[in-house]
Amino acid sequence: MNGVLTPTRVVAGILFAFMAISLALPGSASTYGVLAYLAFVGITMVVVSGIRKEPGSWLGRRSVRRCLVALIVAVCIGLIATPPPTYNSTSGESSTGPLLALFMFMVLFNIALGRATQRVVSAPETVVDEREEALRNRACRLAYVILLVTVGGVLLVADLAGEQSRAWLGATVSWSGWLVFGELLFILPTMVLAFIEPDRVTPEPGEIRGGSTARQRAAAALLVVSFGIPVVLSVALAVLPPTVSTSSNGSIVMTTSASGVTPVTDCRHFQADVIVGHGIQADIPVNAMACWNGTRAAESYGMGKSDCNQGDSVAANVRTLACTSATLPDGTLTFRYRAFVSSSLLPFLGRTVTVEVIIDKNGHVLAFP
Amino acid sequence: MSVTEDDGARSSDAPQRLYNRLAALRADRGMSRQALADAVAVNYQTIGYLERGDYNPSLELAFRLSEVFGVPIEAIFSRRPMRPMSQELYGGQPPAEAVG
Repeated sequence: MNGVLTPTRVVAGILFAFMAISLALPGSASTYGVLAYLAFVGITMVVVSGIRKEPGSWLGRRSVRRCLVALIVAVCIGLIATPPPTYNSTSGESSTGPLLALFMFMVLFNIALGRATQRVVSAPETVVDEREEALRNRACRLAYVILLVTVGGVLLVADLAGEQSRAWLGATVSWSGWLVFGELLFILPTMVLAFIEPDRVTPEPGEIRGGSTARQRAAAALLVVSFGIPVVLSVALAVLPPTVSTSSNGSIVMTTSASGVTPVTDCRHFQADVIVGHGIQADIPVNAMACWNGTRAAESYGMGKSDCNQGDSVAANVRTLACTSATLPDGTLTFRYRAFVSSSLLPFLGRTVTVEVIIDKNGHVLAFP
Repeated sequence: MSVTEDDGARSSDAPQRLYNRLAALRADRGMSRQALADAVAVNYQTIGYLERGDYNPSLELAFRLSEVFGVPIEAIFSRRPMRPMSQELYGGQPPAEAVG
């Protein structure tokens, strides 16, 4: 059992099992993309967690390690303080806030902390010596007392304090609270170890063995790709043109009787999907019925304020800038939806997308994505 | 609690600092920390922590170190600050310039 069932491997196994189950269920292409990325991250985790590299003179200093621990605590507090992803069905806005960026920072700091402590906490017993084992035992003892006091204390106080704190607890536990709890459960011993271990001994010349091995180079490459993919996809969302798929089907003729005349009203169903970004993406759909009778064009349904909604979005924020629908004096129907789409990871990087449907009184389509 | 903040690596059942002559013995034998670490099957950092007094070894490790250097354990570790080797061996006073 020793050396085989380490906590990291058990957690990685559970995550892979979840992903395998998810992959077996029907889903969209973007869902499969996210799962494929998570699988890649899982492989990276396994490769990186098996490496015990010298932390170097900088990461070997206790003050630097304590700073890393403080940063992780700050990220955890930020995650708890960040409201869950929102979707406003009236304004059509959706936002995950800084959750993704905070999560990425947390992963980055965890990797640095793992390197700084040489992953002593998760290392198999066969590769740690008696000092490291004693240090690990002490860190685990302290960590689980801290976990009990902090998590138990927060739950107890929030539950007993009042309605407002109970509501906060409900919202937090259902979302980022679980992420922070997982972080504390699995990483707290490493954080405590990093906090209590004295400054590492400066290596004598020639004391550090060998250069980087093939496995270390592979781990570095996997890390670069794991962090690079979301950044590249965030940039792609802002730079690459949107993908548009349209369909305009089924001309329906309706006859209505009014003052002895039977005017003919033609209606057409317009459907379009403007997908901004690839992987990190937002789908802005148009699903509308427009009708015209030679005098004026008007919407039957689907072009009102409540229709300025984005569809599926993956790690993207959508902010509605304008949503107008009007029939001009010459009888032309104009529907315009402008939104700012940005990546949740780099919220300052985004693009404005305008979806327009313009139909004149005779049913000529003047603009359609 | 018997363990101070600065001795995170020290086991809680060995709270008192142990003084040692590891660095002197190592220098005397021309051994690097890595060579000594390999000889007693620990991380070279552990040798550094021992020399610095940040970690008190187990009896097993103390015996292994004793075997590597070929001296008794009490010649390597002590509960009191250790005198220089020359004083231990010859009982003489150190030269005046060495005292300062």
